[in-house]
Amino acid sequence: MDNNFIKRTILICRGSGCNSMNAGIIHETLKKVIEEHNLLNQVEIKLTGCQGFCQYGPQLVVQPDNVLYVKLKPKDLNEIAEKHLKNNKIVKEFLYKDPKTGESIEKKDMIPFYSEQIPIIRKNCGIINPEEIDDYISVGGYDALKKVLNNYKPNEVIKELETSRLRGRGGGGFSTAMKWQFCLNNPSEIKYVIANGDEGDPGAFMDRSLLEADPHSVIEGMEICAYTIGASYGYLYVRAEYPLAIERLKIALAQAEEKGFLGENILGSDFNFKIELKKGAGAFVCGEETALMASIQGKRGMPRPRPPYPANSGLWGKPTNINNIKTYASIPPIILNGGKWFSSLGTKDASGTIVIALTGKINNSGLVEIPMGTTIRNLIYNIGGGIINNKKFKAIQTGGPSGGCIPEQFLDTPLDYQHLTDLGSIMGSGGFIVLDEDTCMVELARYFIKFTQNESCGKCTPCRIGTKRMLDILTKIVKGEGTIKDLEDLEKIANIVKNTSLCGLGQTAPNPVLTTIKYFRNEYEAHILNRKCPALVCENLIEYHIDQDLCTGCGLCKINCAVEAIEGEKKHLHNISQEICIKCGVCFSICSYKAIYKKTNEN
Amino acid sequence: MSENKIEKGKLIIDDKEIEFTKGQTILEAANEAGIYIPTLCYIEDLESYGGCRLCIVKVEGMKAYPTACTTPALEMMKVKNDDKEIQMYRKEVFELLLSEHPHSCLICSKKENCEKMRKNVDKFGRIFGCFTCASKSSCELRVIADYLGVEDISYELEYHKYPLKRDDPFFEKDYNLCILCGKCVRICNELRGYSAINFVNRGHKTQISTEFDFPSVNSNCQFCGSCVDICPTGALSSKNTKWNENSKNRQTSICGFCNVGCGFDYLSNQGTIVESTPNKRNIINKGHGCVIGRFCTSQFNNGRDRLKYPSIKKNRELIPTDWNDVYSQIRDKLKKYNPEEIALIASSNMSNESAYVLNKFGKQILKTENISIISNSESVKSYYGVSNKIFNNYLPLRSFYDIEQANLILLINTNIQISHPILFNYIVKAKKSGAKIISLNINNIQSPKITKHILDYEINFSREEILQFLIELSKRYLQIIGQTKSGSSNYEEFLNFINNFKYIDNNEEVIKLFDKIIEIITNLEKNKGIILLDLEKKHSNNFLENLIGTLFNLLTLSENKISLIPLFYSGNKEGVFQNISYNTTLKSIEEIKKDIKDKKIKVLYLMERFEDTEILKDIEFLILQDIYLSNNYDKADIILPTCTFLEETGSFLNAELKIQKFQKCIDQIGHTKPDWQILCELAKNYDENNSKEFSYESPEEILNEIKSKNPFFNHKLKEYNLDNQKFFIPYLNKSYSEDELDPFMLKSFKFRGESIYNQVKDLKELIDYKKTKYTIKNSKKKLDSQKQSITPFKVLSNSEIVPNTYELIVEAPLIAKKAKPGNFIILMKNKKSERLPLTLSDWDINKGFLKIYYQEKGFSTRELTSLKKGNYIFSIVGPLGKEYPIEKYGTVLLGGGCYGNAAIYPIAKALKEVGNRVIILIEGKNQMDLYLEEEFKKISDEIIYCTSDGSKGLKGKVDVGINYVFKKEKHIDRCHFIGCNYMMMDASNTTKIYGAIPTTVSLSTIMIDGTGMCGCCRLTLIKNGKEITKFACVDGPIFNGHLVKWDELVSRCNQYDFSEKQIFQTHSCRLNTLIEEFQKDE
Repeated sequence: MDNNFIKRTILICRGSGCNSMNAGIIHETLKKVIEEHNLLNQVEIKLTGCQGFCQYGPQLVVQPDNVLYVKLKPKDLNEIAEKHLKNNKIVKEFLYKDPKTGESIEKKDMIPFYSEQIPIIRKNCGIINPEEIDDYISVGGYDALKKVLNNYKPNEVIKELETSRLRGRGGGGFSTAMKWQFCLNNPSEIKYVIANGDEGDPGAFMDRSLLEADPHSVIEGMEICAYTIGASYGYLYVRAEYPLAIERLKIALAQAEEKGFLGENILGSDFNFKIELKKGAGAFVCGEETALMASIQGKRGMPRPRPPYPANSGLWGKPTNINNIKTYASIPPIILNGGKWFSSLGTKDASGTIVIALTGKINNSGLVEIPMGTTIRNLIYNIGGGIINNKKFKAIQTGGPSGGCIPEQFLDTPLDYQHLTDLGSIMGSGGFIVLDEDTCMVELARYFIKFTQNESCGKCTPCRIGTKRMLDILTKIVKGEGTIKDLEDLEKIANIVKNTSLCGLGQTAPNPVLTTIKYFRNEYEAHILNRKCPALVCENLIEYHIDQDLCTGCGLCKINCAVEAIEGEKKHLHNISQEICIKCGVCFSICSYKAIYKKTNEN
Repeated sequence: MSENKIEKGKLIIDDKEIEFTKGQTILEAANEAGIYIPTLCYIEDLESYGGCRLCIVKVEGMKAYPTACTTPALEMMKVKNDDKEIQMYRKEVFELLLSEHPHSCLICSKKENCEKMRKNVDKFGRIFGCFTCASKSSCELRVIADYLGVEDISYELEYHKYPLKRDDPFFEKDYNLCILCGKCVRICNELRGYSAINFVNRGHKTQISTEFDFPSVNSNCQFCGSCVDICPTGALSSKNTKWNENSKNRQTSICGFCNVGCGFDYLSNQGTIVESTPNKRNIINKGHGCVIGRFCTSQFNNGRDRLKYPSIKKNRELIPTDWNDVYSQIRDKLKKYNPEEIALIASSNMSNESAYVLNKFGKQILKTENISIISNSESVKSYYGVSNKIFNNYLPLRSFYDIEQANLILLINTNIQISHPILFNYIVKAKKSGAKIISLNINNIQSPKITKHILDYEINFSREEILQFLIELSKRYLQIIGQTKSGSSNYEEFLNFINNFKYIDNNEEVIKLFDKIIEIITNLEKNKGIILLDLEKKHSNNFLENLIGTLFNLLTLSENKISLIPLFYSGNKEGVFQNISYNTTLKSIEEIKKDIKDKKIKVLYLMERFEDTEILKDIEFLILQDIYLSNNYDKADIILPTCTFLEETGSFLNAELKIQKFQKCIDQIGHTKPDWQILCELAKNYDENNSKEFSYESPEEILNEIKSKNPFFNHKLKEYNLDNQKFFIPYLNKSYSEDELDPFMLKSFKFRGESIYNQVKDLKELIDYKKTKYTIKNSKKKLDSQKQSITPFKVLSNSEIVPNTYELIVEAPLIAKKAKPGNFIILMKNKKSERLPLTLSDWDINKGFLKIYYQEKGFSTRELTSLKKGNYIFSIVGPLGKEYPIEKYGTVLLGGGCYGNAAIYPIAKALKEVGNRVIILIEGKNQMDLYLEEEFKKISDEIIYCTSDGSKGLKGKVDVGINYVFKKEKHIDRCHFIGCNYMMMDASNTTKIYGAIPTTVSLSTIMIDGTGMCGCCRLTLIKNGKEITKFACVDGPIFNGHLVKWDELVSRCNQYDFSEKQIFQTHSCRLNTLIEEFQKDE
């Protein structure tokens, strides 16, 4: 026994993603199992934030072996304890299997999903316990703050940032050094620092997982900013829909204050800084900086035109620096490793790394951090492990509802601000949705426009009414009632909304429509001219049928049909009455024999 | 000093160089230079908003299209305004805006004709086009539509179908017209400081609403009307006056209901004030008003109980007579009394001129010393008593402008946002730039919710405590500054008093407040401290003197960096006081009353009624010069009807001591005369020798005389000198009684003793509602439980099927039995309602019900809309009129518009039944106006739609449809049209072109009895050049459309337009009262 003794640490992922897959029960069970196996002295269980590989949760990493177990169930833990922890035998059954070769991969770093990543912002995510400040300190946390307070003048911080070429990670990509410089230049005595954690894009969760996994890195970044621009009060604005992130931030703020990293005379210097946590009330538009500030001030979250920019007149009319939380999290590594190091990563256009929430029809959905300039192909086929069920890739939607979709012919485009803008899309905050051949691009555009239209604050005409008119037309088209003139009108209104809206929400809202029209015009035309939906998605244009060769007459579809559209005796062929069918698709998804298929409407 | 210098610069708009002041936006610079940039959301005094996106421009070096209203002008900035691309974008954005605002009238092919023909706006309930919109003449959308040349709109109208909000007094809301420019929200929140409304919901459902969507009476709303006046569309409109077109006679004058003296534009029509809107250029109120000035003026002035004729009491009854008769009577009577037996009582609502003449009349003609002023005159007496004593007849300056510049504002016993809302605007502004607002209340009268949010401190005192507080404040202040710079002669005495003064209260909150106030006062430099003191509330004399005196001490100590503005609720209290006390010692009203009781005074000449009539019993001869009927009326021997400030010219003295001239806005009502004129004429009648002294050509002449004689009205007096100031030595030996104060001040606003509350229906409702704090539920219950008498006419259903058109199904078996296509009925909702002729659309003989379609188009139809299932209609008479001859003609064209769609239905049905080919032509503004479509499909061979905006069928009006049918069909045998007069005229004129095709129309004229007796429905047909008179109710309603004399018909129908619209304002029909009296007698 003794020669087998290895002190091990188990890092169990307790991000929101894994939590929703019962990571809590796994955690509790694991504690019991360790106790039952008398491993208390040898094994330490450590809670961590999101480890990124969300598709395969709940998961845990056994260190120092660097073995990742995925998709765990409580009953699996006994086996892991018995075989791996006691007898050093890795349990192959629970390892990640390469979808291409089918082979299990033992070491976490050997998994393509992880091997291609260069974590800088997420370097501590999944490694430290977000609820323990000492954990953060043990990996060099708050060293950057110390360095800045002891050795840097505000100008020097900005110089370092200038060298790093860091650009805002919230989507706009504005130079962080310049932003801070503007604020520093303002002579006002009172200034504010705001961290924007109001992540509202459908399918994006970069900010949430960062706050859940490494809240101190954001706090440290904010403090360095406050020191640089001369602020003594900061706001951390987080969506109320992120209860776990808020909980962990509260703990982190309390601990930082207790340790003297926040409050008055921080680390013995004469620098004072306090952070207030503000919960957003669920409006997407509050991610826009001026709306966010209005919201903090207790007003309705509505953007206002700039100028004046927040650096001149922001929160309560005072100069304010507002950055995305990922930008703040990038600051400590830059200070510690130097701007040159950061600048050496990425491309000419953009330095450093980008954190992407990879979702959609992809095998490995989750969070990845890759250097700027990685190609989309690499992201999807290597890191992402390809498309689910080996379907055909159709497009990737970047930047959420404000972005556009990029079709197959641009798969080799390197990911950076300029390249995406050239294709009519944007980098955005980093929510990427992969679409396969079963996606109807018209319906996709309609979905996003519906989202932006619902989330418009209603202040400016083009955004409030223009997006509604676009939605009306798109609804008409997916119903098969559109005309070619509608398509022209759609493009026309899209351009008006884009060019005349007040804030970013309206200006970018037409992007999904414009890019889908640009790259998938044939799909629109199919809906309009042929009254067909090529991807077989739009209800009005498709029919469900039963394949006579495959149907076994089990009756499952019949039982589940809500409108009693399916007829047929048991063990005999079933049939769907097209007059009654409401195309809900329940039978299609429930059939065990894949006997139900979709086809385009005959009429 | 360089900071204060106004920096100028130059920028270029469309190659034109214009000047701008630093800090201005492009829009402001352009506006000043006379360059038009369209905008819908810009408000001059407020932060730019940038919401409507119509003012986008191109700026060299800037990305995208910045908005002119938000972009600061910079030196040599190059701006493109009149640019092809910019105009294209503006037009597109504007079209988007119109896609949710009923716009069919803007792009209607008959627009020009319609504007010419329909001079008056129709009084529809829901507004679905310009011709039904009360704000037509002030609509900013129409201006921009013209500017951008909008001819067609690529979108179908999306009508939100929000319910009409009519629960509130004074204004109505129809958010279906709202374009969400946000002006009302910003003006309410940022400028007026009430925050009664805001945006709710998101995206396309964004709307303006009050908290929880309750009626405004339950919100912070003060009914100031700023939102109504700023609204660029018809979404918000004044309830009572909305239908009176704005363009008629307009006169700018001064409002006389309180001593702020706001500028108002008074609009009149046919000798009646119809609306008062705040004047935008007036420097005091800058386009804002309050509930009384904005909404109550016209109703108050038009009240039915106004005194109109001079009258004399004969045999216990007041008999109208002419002026000379009255004058002689007064002269003869008065000459019988000694001067000291006569008293002359002024009103604080008189003009300076009238008050001066009154003083002159009293002294020179009556030679009496018994001159006084009624309505709480003690306060003004105390104020000037103290002020004259300690300022040595000099008066410290007062200016409203100081309020917005102030660092410290002390509100003493003042609920300013209710009593003087315009000054509250100044306070809101001061608060924004950091002023501290402190409210010191007496007798636990708490500040209302709306003021609370603006107050930094609020403390409630008893009368004694507040004096203690103020003296202690002076003491501490003096200790800080050490020595006063004033060369006051009684400084030692004051010092002595102060040093011996001991403050009792040691409330921690109060002690903190001392430090705060003193800190601010000692730091006062350029900016000032302001004390606002409500002097209308009743206090004992002694208290007021002490209060005013201690406050004046603060003024002196601060070297006049603090100023005090006294607030009164009547327009000219200070002016009247100064004029009638000129060269005489005023008696207080209490002294007069005492003399009356002691029978020393036997004759009273009142300019304003006595509230307490008991005292009048002892009077032998009473002359009442008043504007309204009152409880003093019966006691009077002579009535002299006089004018309000809207009917005469003169001047008031406002709280800034500015002489404000008000103008005559309408002719005098009845035989009324201005006060000064009555007094002058009486003086001349009294004695011929007086004619020189009392002959004034105009009030202007009197004012000049006042200025030359009374130094108070001479500006020299208002300069003050520290050395001439004395200190007030308080005398605190009396305890003060704690009497009840009326917390709801709006009710105490009076004019010549007549409460505005009594005369203005909506104000009465508002105050009563707030006072009793009825929940909405309660008030609704009350309405529903009103007793209804049972009649044979039970309502089966009444619902709005398309905007503004209602379907009414009512039981009337006997009428249903006899009804024929083309018949109509006359309906009265209840026994006091108008008799309303309505065409029958459908009926069921077996079930015994009638179906009627009507449009909400005026007061009576509006009444009908409130009918609910199970209600009873008072009476229905019918079937009336001649039926449509049903025969087999061949091909028949039947056209309907608006309510006419339903009216052609029974005719179409009957014609189809006998085998005709029936073509239906339906006209509407927009597809949402169309109804009964399914029914028509069943009984017609073809249906043709025409809409103004082309949203369904043909684009255009009925003529387009007729031309279409005539081109398509080989032969039409007969045509019949029902709709509004304009539509029927248009249709008849169009069919004329196609030869002598029989064309009939159903005319709806003004009707009363429906039996051919009254003659109201008279119309003229021109047959073979001869004019034939017909009556629509018995000879019609169906006539040959080619023969009708349309001009006459239209003008007859519009005959009572003005009175019909007036009904909304003063709906209290004299007839009803008479009927009630009759019934009582029986």
